[in-house]
Amino acid sequence: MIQEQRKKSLTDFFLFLAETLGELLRLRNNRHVSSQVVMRQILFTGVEALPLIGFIALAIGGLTIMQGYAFLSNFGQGIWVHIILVRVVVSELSGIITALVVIARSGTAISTELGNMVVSREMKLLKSFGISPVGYLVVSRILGVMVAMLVLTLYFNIIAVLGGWLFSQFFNHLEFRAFINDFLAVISLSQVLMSLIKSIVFGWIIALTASYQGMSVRQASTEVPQRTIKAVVSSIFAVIIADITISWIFWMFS
Amino acid sequence: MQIVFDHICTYGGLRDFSLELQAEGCISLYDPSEKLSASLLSTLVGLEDICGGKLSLDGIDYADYWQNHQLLETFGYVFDEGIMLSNLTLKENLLLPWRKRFDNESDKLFETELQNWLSRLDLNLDINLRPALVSAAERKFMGFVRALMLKPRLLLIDDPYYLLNKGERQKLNGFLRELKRNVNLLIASADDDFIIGFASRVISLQDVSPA
Repeated sequence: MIQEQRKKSLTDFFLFLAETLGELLRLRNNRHVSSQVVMRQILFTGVEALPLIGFIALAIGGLTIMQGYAFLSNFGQGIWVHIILVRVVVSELSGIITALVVIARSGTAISTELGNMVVSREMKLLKSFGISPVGYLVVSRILGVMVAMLVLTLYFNIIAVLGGWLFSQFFNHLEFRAFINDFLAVISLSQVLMSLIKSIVFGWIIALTASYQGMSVRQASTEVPQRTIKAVVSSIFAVIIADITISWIFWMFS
Repeated sequence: MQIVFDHICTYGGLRDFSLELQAEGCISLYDPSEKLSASLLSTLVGLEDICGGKLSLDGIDYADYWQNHQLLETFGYVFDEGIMLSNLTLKENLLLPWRKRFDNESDKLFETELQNWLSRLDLNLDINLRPALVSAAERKFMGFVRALMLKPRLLLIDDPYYLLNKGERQKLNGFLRELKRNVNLLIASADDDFIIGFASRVISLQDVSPA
Protein backbone atom coordinates (compact mmCIF):
# COMPACT_ATOMS: atom_id res chain seq x y z
CA MET A 1 0.00 0.00 0.00
CA ILE A 2 2.74 2.45 1.03
CA GLN A 3 4.81 1.37 -1.95
CA GLU A 4 1.86 2.05 -4.28
CA GLN A 5 1.41 5.51 -2.77
CA ARG A 6 5.11 6.24 -3.27
CA LYS A 7 4.86 5.10 -6.87
CA LYS A 8 1.83 7.35 -7.46
CA SER A 9 3.57 10.29 -5.80
CA LEU A 10 6.67 9.72 -7.94
CA THR A 11 4.52 9.54 -11.09
CA ASP A 12 2.73 12.75 -10.07
CA PHE A 13 6.08 14.45 -9.55
CA PHE A 14 7.35 13.48 -13.00
CA LEU A 15 4.08 14.61 -14.59
CA PHE A 16 4.47 17.92 -12.77
CA LEU A 17 8.07 18.15 -13.97
CA ALA A 18 6.97 17.48 -17.56
CA GLU A 19 4.24 20.14 -17.32
CA THR A 20 6.75 22.62 -15.89
CA LEU A 21 9.21 21.95 -18.71
CA GLY A 22 6.40 22.32 -21.26
CA GLU A 23 5.41 25.69 -19.78
CA LEU A 24 9.05 26.75 -19.67
CA LEU A 25 9.24 26.17 -23.42
CA ARG A 26 6.16 28.38 -23.88
CA LEU A 27 7.73 31.10 -21.75
CA ARG A 28 7.68 33.66 -24.53
CA ASN A 29 3.89 33.46 -24.70
CA ASN A 30 3.53 33.91 -20.94
CA ARG A 31 6.12 36.66 -20.60
CA HIS A 32 3.63 39.48 -20.16
CA VAL A 33 2.02 37.84 -17.17
CA SER A 34 5.04 36.19 -15.53
CA SER A 35 7.71 38.92 -15.33
CA GLN A 36 6.14 40.51 -12.26
CA VAL A 37 6.16 37.21 -10.35
CA VAL A 38 9.79 36.56 -11.39
CA MET A 39 10.90 39.99 -10.15
CA ARG A 40 9.08 39.59 -6.84
CA GLN A 41 10.64 36.16 -6.35
CA ILE A 42 14.14 37.55 -7.02
CA LEU A 43 13.47 40.34 -4.54
CA PHE A 44 12.27 37.96 -1.83
CA THR A 45 14.72 35.09 -2.39
CA GLY A 46 17.71 37.14 -3.45
CA VAL A 47 17.71 40.72 -2.23
CA GLU A 48 16.02 40.16 1.12
CA ALA A 49 18.36 37.24 1.92
CA LEU A 50 21.54 39.27 1.34
CA PRO A 51 22.11 40.32 4.99
CA LEU A 52 21.75 36.75 6.31
CA ILE A 53 23.92 35.26 3.54
CA GLY A 54 26.47 38.04 4.06
CA PHE A 55 26.67 37.34 7.78
CA ILE A 56 27.06 33.57 7.31
CA ALA A 57 29.62 34.00 4.51
CA LEU A 58 31.71 36.39 6.59
CA ALA A 59 31.69 33.98 9.51
CA ILE A 60 32.45 30.88 7.39
CA GLY A 61 35.27 32.60 5.48
CA GLY A 62 36.76 33.96 8.66
CA LEU A 63 36.48 30.71 10.61
CA THR A 64 38.00 28.70 7.74
CA ILE A 65 41.02 31.01 7.65
CA MET A 66 41.27 31.03 11.43
CA GLN A 67 41.16 27.26 11.83
CA GLY A 68 43.25 26.57 8.75
CA TYR A 69 45.94 29.09 9.63
CA ALA A 70 46.15 27.95 13.24
CA PHE A 71 46.77 24.40 12.07
CA LEU A 72 48.92 24.93 9.00
CA SER A 73 51.19 27.65 10.40
CA ASN A 74 52.59 25.01 12.77
CA PHE A 75 54.19 23.44 9.70
CA GLY A 76 55.06 26.72 8.00
CA GLN A 77 52.40 26.03 5.34
CA GLY A 78 50.20 29.09 5.82
CA ILE A 79 49.71 29.48 2.06
CA TRP A 80 47.62 26.29 2.00
CA VAL A 81 44.92 28.15 3.82
CA HIS A 82 43.93 29.73 0.49
CA ILE A 83 43.60 26.31 -1.08
CA ILE A 84 41.32 25.28 1.77
CA LEU A 85 39.28 28.45 1.25
CA VAL A 86 38.83 27.64 -2.44
CA ARG A 87 38.26 23.90 -2.02
CA VAL A 88 35.99 24.07 1.00
CA VAL A 89 34.15 27.37 0.72
CA VAL A 90 33.98 28.24 -2.98
CA SER A 91 33.55 24.69 -4.32
CA GLU A 92 31.36 23.17 -1.64
CA LEU A 93 30.09 25.24 1.25
CA SER A 94 28.91 28.34 -0.63
CA GLY A 95 26.39 26.40 -2.72
CA ILE A 96 25.18 24.13 0.07
CA ILE A 97 24.85 26.83 2.73
CA THR A 98 23.13 29.24 0.32
CA ALA A 99 20.78 26.41 -0.69
CA LEU A 100 19.94 25.66 2.95
CA VAL A 101 19.16 29.32 3.60
CA VAL A 102 17.01 29.49 0.45
CA ILE A 103 15.18 26.28 1.42
CA ALA A 104 14.51 27.70 4.90
CA ARG A 105 13.28 31.06 3.62
CA SER A 106 11.94 30.63 0.11
CA GLY A 107 11.22 26.91 -0.17
CA THR A 108 8.90 27.06 2.81
CA ALA A 109 7.35 30.34 1.61
CA ILE A 110 6.68 28.99 -1.91
CA SER A 111 5.16 25.76 -0.63
CA THR A 112 2.96 27.56 1.92
CA GLU A 113 1.85 30.27 -0.49
CA LEU A 114 0.94 27.87 -3.31
CA GLY A 115 -0.77 25.50 -0.88
CA ASN A 116 -2.90 28.33 0.50
CA MET A 117 -3.69 29.47 -3.05
CA VAL A 118 -4.97 25.99 -3.89
CA VAL A 119 -7.15 25.95 -0.76
CA SER A 120 -8.63 29.38 -1.56
CA ARG A 121 -9.33 28.27 -5.17
CA GLU A 122 -6.96 30.83 -6.70
CA MET A 123 -5.66 28.17 -9.11
CA LYS A 124 -9.21 27.81 -10.41
CA LEU A 125 -9.40 31.57 -10.86
CA LEU A 126 -6.27 31.51 -13.03
CA LYS A 127 -7.67 28.64 -15.08
CA SER A 128 -10.87 30.62 -15.61
CA PHE A 129 -8.70 33.32 -17.27
CA GLY A 130 -7.16 30.67 -19.51
CA ILE A 131 -3.84 31.12 -17.67
CA SER A 132 -1.92 28.01 -16.67
CA PRO A 133 -1.19 28.10 -12.90
CA VAL A 134 2.01 26.13 -13.54
CA GLY A 135 3.14 28.61 -16.20
CA TYR A 136 2.20 31.69 -14.22
CA LEU A 137 3.09 30.69 -10.66
CA VAL A 138 5.56 27.80 -10.83
CA VAL A 139 7.76 28.62 -13.84
CA SER A 140 8.07 32.23 -12.67
CA ARG A 141 9.14 31.11 -9.21
CA ILE A 142 11.63 28.59 -10.59
CA LEU A 143 13.27 31.28 -12.75
CA GLY A 144 13.28 33.74 -9.86
CA VAL A 145 14.86 31.28 -7.42
CA MET A 146 17.48 30.15 -9.99
CA VAL A 147 18.58 33.73 -10.66
CA ALA A 148 18.55 34.54 -6.94
CA MET A 149 20.58 31.40 -6.08
CA LEU A 150 23.20 32.29 -8.69
CA VAL A 151 23.56 35.84 -7.38
CA LEU A 152 23.52 34.76 -3.72
CA THR A 153 26.21 32.12 -4.29
CA LEU A 154 28.45 34.64 -6.05
CA TYR A 155 27.81 37.08 -3.21
CA PHE A 156 28.57 34.35 -0.64
CA ASN A 157 31.90 33.57 -2.32
CA ILE A 158 32.95 37.23 -2.48
CA ILE A 159 32.02 37.93 1.14
CA ALA A 160 33.61 34.68 2.35
CA VAL A 161 36.89 35.55 0.65
CA LEU A 162 36.79 39.10 2.02
CA GLY A 163 35.91 37.69 5.46
CA GLY A 164 38.86 35.35 5.16
CA TRP A 165 41.17 38.26 4.45
CA LEU A 166 39.75 40.29 7.35
CA PHE A 167 40.32 37.41 9.77
CA SER A 168 43.80 36.74 8.40
CA GLN A 169 44.71 40.20 9.66
CA PHE A 170 44.56 38.85 13.18
CA PHE A 171 47.28 36.29 12.51
CA ASN A 172 49.64 37.94 10.08
CA HIS A 173 49.22 41.32 8.53
CA LEU A 174 48.82 40.17 4.99
CA GLU A 175 48.30 42.82 2.35
CA PHE A 176 45.00 42.65 0.55
CA ARG A 177 46.69 42.48 -2.85
CA ALA A 178 48.96 39.65 -1.73
CA PHE A 179 46.03 37.77 -0.26
CA ILE A 180 43.99 38.08 -3.44
CA ASN A 181 47.00 37.13 -5.60
CA ASP A 182 47.48 33.95 -3.57
CA PHE A 183 43.75 33.26 -3.79
CA LEU A 184 43.66 33.77 -7.55
CA ALA A 185 46.72 31.56 -7.94
CA VAL A 186 44.93 28.58 -6.44
CA ILE A 187 41.43 29.05 -7.82
CA SER A 188 40.62 27.55 -11.22
CA LEU A 189 37.94 28.34 -13.75
CA SER A 190 36.41 24.88 -13.36
CA GLN A 191 35.92 25.48 -9.62
CA VAL A 192 34.12 28.75 -10.25
CA LEU A 193 32.07 27.11 -12.99
CA MET A 194 31.15 24.20 -10.72
CA SER A 195 30.06 26.57 -7.99
CA LEU A 196 27.82 28.49 -10.41
CA ILE A 197 26.36 25.37 -12.02
CA LYS A 198 25.58 23.99 -8.59
CA SER A 199 23.80 27.18 -7.57
CA ILE A 200 21.57 27.11 -10.68
CA VAL A 201 20.77 23.40 -10.25
CA PHE A 202 20.05 23.86 -6.53
CA GLY A 203 17.73 26.78 -7.31
CA TRP A 204 15.86 24.63 -9.83
CA ILE A 205 15.54 21.76 -7.33
CA ILE A 206 14.38 23.94 -4.43
CA ALA A 207 11.74 25.85 -6.40
CA LEU A 208 10.48 22.76 -8.23
CA THR A 209 10.18 20.67 -5.06
CA ALA A 210 8.53 23.44 -3.06
CA SER A 211 6.11 24.23 -5.90
CA TYR A 212 5.22 20.58 -6.37
CA GLN A 213 4.46 20.12 -2.69
CA GLY A 214 2.46 23.37 -2.57
CA MET A 215 0.44 22.45 -5.66
CA SER A 216 -0.18 18.97 -4.23
CA VAL A 217 -2.41 20.37 -1.49
CA ARG A 218 -5.96 19.26 -2.26
CA GLN A 219 -8.59 20.98 -0.13
CA ALA A 220 -7.77 21.27 3.56
CA SER A 221 -5.61 24.02 5.01
CA THR A 222 -4.17 21.44 7.44
CA GLU A 223 -2.34 19.89 4.47
CA VAL A 224 -0.30 23.07 3.97
CA PRO A 225 2.18 22.67 6.88
CA GLN A 226 2.49 18.94 6.16
CA ARG A 227 3.40 19.67 2.54
CA THR A 228 5.82 22.40 3.62
CA ILE A 229 7.69 19.95 5.86
CA LYS A 230 7.87 17.49 2.95
CA ALA A 231 9.17 20.28 0.70
CA VAL A 232 12.01 21.08 3.12
CA VAL A 233 13.04 17.46 3.70
CA SER A 234 12.86 16.50 -0.01
CA SER A 235 14.75 19.64 -1.06
CA ILE A 236 17.60 18.99 1.38
CA PHE A 237 17.94 15.39 0.18
CA ALA A 238 17.77 16.36 -3.49
CA VAL A 239 20.25 19.24 -3.11
CA ILE A 240 22.83 17.05 -1.36
CA ILE A 241 22.46 14.29 -3.96
CA ALA A 242 22.83 16.87 -6.76
CA ASP A 243 25.89 18.34 -4.99
CA ILE A 244 27.59 14.95 -4.80
CA THR A 245 26.72 14.20 -8.44
CA ILE A 246 28.02 17.52 -9.82
CA SER A 247 31.20 17.34 -7.71
CA TRP A 248 31.77 13.78 -8.91
CA ILE A 249 31.29 14.78 -12.58
CA PHE A 250 33.77 17.67 -12.25
CA TRP A 251 36.19 15.43 -10.38
CA MET A 252 35.98 12.81 -13.15
CA PHE A 253 36.75 15.36 -15.87
CA SER A 254 39.34 17.43 -14.02
CA MET B 1 -24.72 31.87 -27.93
CA GLN B 2 -26.04 28.35 -28.15
CA ILE B 3 -24.79 25.97 -25.46
CA VAL B 4 -25.57 22.25 -25.63
CA PHE B 5 -24.73 19.76 -22.89
CA ASP B 6 -25.28 16.30 -24.39
CA HIS B 7 -25.10 13.53 -21.76
CA ILE B 8 -22.15 15.24 -20.15
CA CYS B 9 -20.16 13.67 -17.32
CA THR B 10 -17.46 15.63 -15.54
CA TYR B 11 -14.89 14.81 -12.88
CA GLY B 12 -16.80 17.33 -10.75
CA GLY B 13 -20.54 17.18 -10.29
CA LEU B 14 -22.22 16.50 -13.66
CA ARG B 15 -23.47 12.96 -14.34
CA ASP B 16 -25.14 12.18 -17.69
CA PHE B 17 -26.34 15.77 -17.81
CA SER B 18 -28.20 17.15 -20.82
CA LEU B 19 -29.35 20.71 -21.39
CA GLU B 20 -29.71 23.00 -24.38
CA LEU B 21 -29.87 26.72 -23.92
CA GLN B 22 -29.76 29.81 -26.05
CA ALA B 23 -27.74 32.09 -23.82
CA GLU B 24 -29.17 35.49 -24.69
CA GLY B 25 -30.58 38.06 -22.31
CA CYS B 26 -30.75 36.90 -18.74
CA ILE B 27 -31.13 33.23 -17.77
CA SER B 28 -31.39 31.97 -14.21
CA LEU B 29 -30.44 28.45 -13.25
CA TYR B 30 -32.52 27.37 -10.27
CA ASP B 31 -30.72 24.75 -8.26
CA PRO B 32 -31.54 24.36 -4.55
CA SER B 33 -28.47 22.14 -4.00
CA GLU B 34 -26.26 24.76 -5.75
CA LYS B 35 -23.78 22.00 -6.63
CA LEU B 36 -25.12 21.16 -10.06
CA SER B 37 -25.34 24.76 -11.22
CA ALA B 38 -21.84 25.52 -9.91
CA SER B 39 -20.54 22.45 -11.78
CA LEU B 40 -22.30 23.58 -14.96
CA LEU B 41 -20.68 27.02 -14.85
CA SER B 42 -17.29 25.53 -13.92
CA THR B 43 -17.49 23.13 -16.86
CA LEU B 44 -18.17 26.01 -19.25
CA VAL B 45 -14.97 27.82 -18.24
CA GLY B 46 -12.94 24.61 -18.26
CA LEU B 47 -12.53 24.20 -14.51
CA GLU B 48 -14.10 20.75 -14.57
CA ASP B 49 -12.74 18.24 -17.04
CA ILE B 50 -15.27 16.42 -19.19
CA CYS B 51 -15.05 12.63 -18.97
CA GLY B 52 -18.02 11.73 -21.17
CA GLY B 53 -20.70 13.13 -23.47
CA LYS B 54 -20.43 16.15 -25.69
CA LEU B 55 -20.45 19.86 -24.96
CA SER B 56 -20.77 22.30 -27.83
CA LEU B 57 -20.77 26.09 -28.13
CA ASP B 58 -22.53 27.59 -31.17
CA GLY B 59 -22.60 24.10 -32.70
CA ILE B 60 -18.83 23.67 -32.40
CA ASP B 61 -17.28 21.02 -30.17
CA TYR B 62 -16.07 22.58 -26.90
CA ALA B 63 -12.39 21.65 -27.43
CA ASP B 64 -12.41 22.87 -31.04
CA TYR B 65 -14.19 26.11 -30.14
CA TRP B 66 -11.05 27.47 -28.45
CA GLN B 67 -9.01 27.13 -31.63
CA ASN B 68 -10.57 30.38 -32.84
CA HIS B 69 -11.88 31.98 -29.66
CA GLN B 70 -10.37 33.25 -26.46
CA LEU B 71 -11.85 32.11 -23.15
CA LEU B 72 -11.88 35.63 -21.71
CA GLU B 73 -13.78 37.13 -24.65
CA THR B 74 -16.37 34.34 -24.48
CA PHE B 75 -17.07 33.87 -20.77
CA GLY B 76 -16.69 36.12 -17.78
CA TYR B 77 -16.90 34.18 -14.53
CA VAL B 78 -17.89 35.69 -11.20
CA PHE B 79 -17.06 33.19 -8.46
CA ASP B 80 -19.40 32.90 -5.48
CA GLU B 81 -16.58 33.84 -3.07
CA GLY B 82 -15.20 36.74 -5.10
CA ILE B 83 -11.81 35.05 -5.37
CA MET B 84 -8.77 37.27 -5.95
CA LEU B 85 -5.10 36.32 -6.27
CA SER B 86 -3.64 36.96 -2.82
CA ASN B 87 -0.14 37.78 -4.13
CA LEU B 88 -1.41 40.73 -6.19
CA THR B 89 -3.12 44.01 -5.31
CA LEU B 90 -6.75 44.56 -6.35
CA LYS B 91 -5.60 46.62 -9.32
CA GLU B 92 -3.06 43.99 -10.41
CA ASN B 93 -5.80 41.38 -10.08
CA LEU B 94 -7.80 43.31 -12.64
CA LEU B 95 -4.82 44.04 -14.87
CA LEU B 96 -3.77 40.41 -15.18
CA PRO B 97 -6.76 39.18 -17.22
CA TRP B 98 -7.07 42.60 -18.92
CA ARG B 99 -3.60 42.32 -20.43
CA LYS B 100 -4.33 38.78 -21.55
CA ARG B 101 -7.64 39.82 -23.10
CA PHE B 102 -6.57 43.12 -24.72
CA ASP B 103 -2.96 42.61 -25.71
CA ASN B 104 -2.52 45.90 -27.51
CA GLU B 105 -4.82 48.12 -25.50
CA SER B 106 -3.21 50.84 -23.43
CA ASP B 107 -3.25 50.91 -19.65
CA LYS B 108 -4.91 54.34 -19.91
CA LEU B 109 -8.01 52.69 -21.33
CA PHE B 110 -7.86 50.27 -18.42
CA GLU B 111 -7.96 53.18 -15.97
CA THR B 112 -10.94 54.73 -17.74
CA GLU B 113 -12.85 51.43 -17.81
CA LEU B 114 -11.99 50.73 -14.19
CA GLN B 115 -13.20 54.11 -12.97
CA ASN B 116 -16.38 53.70 -15.02
CA TRP B 117 -17.27 50.36 -13.42
CA LEU B 118 -16.22 51.46 -9.93
CA SER B 119 -18.54 54.45 -10.13
CA ARG B 120 -21.38 52.35 -11.56
CA LEU B 121 -21.05 50.00 -8.59
CA ASP B 122 -20.56 52.94 -6.23
CA LEU B 123 -17.31 51.40 -4.96
CA ASN B 124 -14.95 53.67 -3.10
CA LEU B 125 -11.89 51.68 -2.07
CA ASP B 126 -8.12 51.78 -2.42
CA ILE B 127 -7.39 49.47 -5.35
CA ASN B 128 -3.72 49.30 -4.43
CA LEU B 129 -4.53 47.20 -1.38
CA ARG B 130 -4.10 43.44 -1.25
CA PRO B 131 -7.42 41.52 -1.37
CA ALA B 132 -6.98 40.30 2.21
CA LEU B 133 -7.26 43.93 3.40
CA VAL B 134 -10.75 44.58 2.00
CA SER B 135 -14.08 43.05 3.01
CA ALA B 136 -15.49 39.90 1.42
CA ALA B 137 -18.30 41.95 -0.15
CA GLU B 138 -15.83 44.40 -1.68
CA ARG B 139 -13.85 41.49 -3.12
CA LYS B 140 -17.05 40.10 -4.54
CA PHE B 141 -17.95 43.43 -6.18
CA MET B 142 -14.41 43.70 -7.54
CA GLY B 143 -14.95 40.23 -9.02
CA PHE B 144 -17.87 41.69 -10.98
CA VAL B 145 -15.74 44.63 -12.11
CA ARG B 146 -12.95 42.30 -13.23
CA ALA B 147 -15.30 40.14 -15.27
CA LEU B 148 -17.24 43.04 -16.81
CA MET B 149 -14.15 45.00 -17.84
CA LEU B 150 -13.24 42.12 -20.14
CA LYS B 151 -16.50 42.53 -22.09
CA PRO B 152 -17.36 38.82 -22.34
CA ARG B 153 -20.12 37.51 -24.59
CA LEU B 154 -21.72 35.79 -21.61
CA LEU B 155 -21.28 36.59 -17.94
CA LEU B 156 -21.53 33.55 -15.68
CA ILE B 157 -22.48 34.41 -12.10
CA ASP B 158 -22.30 31.78 -9.39
CA ASP B 159 -24.57 32.50 -6.42
CA PRO B 160 -24.61 36.32 -6.62
CA TYR B 161 -25.82 36.84 -3.04
CA TYR B 162 -23.18 34.68 -1.38
CA LEU B 163 -21.23 36.59 1.32
CA LEU B 164 -23.42 39.70 1.00
CA ASN B 165 -25.58 41.29 3.70
CA LYS B 166 -29.09 42.65 3.10
CA GLY B 167 -27.99 46.11 1.97
CA GLU B 168 -25.30 44.76 -0.30
CA ARG B 169 -27.79 42.29 -1.81
CA GLN B 170 -30.16 45.15 -2.68
CA LYS B 171 -27.31 47.11 -4.21
CA LEU B 172 -26.20 44.13 -6.30
CA ASN B 173 -29.75 43.33 -7.35
CA GLY B 174 -30.23 46.88 -8.62
CA PHE B 175 -26.92 46.74 -10.45
CA LEU B 176 -27.73 43.42 -12.12
CA ARG B 177 -31.20 44.67 -13.15
CA GLU B 178 -29.49 47.53 -14.95
CA LEU B 179 -26.77 45.28 -16.33
CA LYS B 180 -29.08 42.66 -17.86
CA ARG B 181 -30.26 45.20 -20.46
CA ASN B 182 -26.84 45.22 -22.15
CA VAL B 183 -25.01 42.10 -21.02
CA ASN B 184 -25.94 38.44 -21.48
CA LEU B 185 -26.15 36.83 -18.05
CA LEU B 186 -26.29 33.23 -16.86
CA ILE B 187 -26.99 33.27 -13.13
CA ALA B 188 -26.82 30.21 -10.89
CA SER B 189 -28.89 30.89 -7.81
CA ALA B 190 -31.54 29.47 -5.53
CA ASP B 191 -32.66 32.94 -4.36
CA ASP B 192 -36.21 34.06 -5.17
CA ASP B 193 -34.86 37.46 -6.27
CA PHE B 194 -33.35 35.84 -9.36
CA ILE B 195 -36.10 33.28 -9.95
CA ILE B 196 -39.25 35.39 -9.78
CA GLY B 197 -39.60 38.26 -12.21
CA PHE B 198 -35.89 38.79 -12.84
CA ALA B 199 -34.70 36.58 -15.67
CA SER B 200 -36.16 36.24 -19.14
CA ARG B 201 -35.92 32.48 -18.66
CA VAL B 202 -35.61 30.30 -15.57
CA ILE B 203 -34.25 26.77 -15.89
CA SER B 204 -34.84 24.46 -13.00
CA LEU B 205 -31.98 22.03 -12.73
CA GLN B 206 -34.13 19.81 -10.52
CA ASP B 207 -36.05 18.90 -13.68
CA VAL B 208 -33.10 18.38 -16.03
CA SER B 209 -30.71 16.47 -13.85
CA PRO B 210 -31.24 12.74 -14.26
CA ALA B 211 -28.43 11.91 -11.77
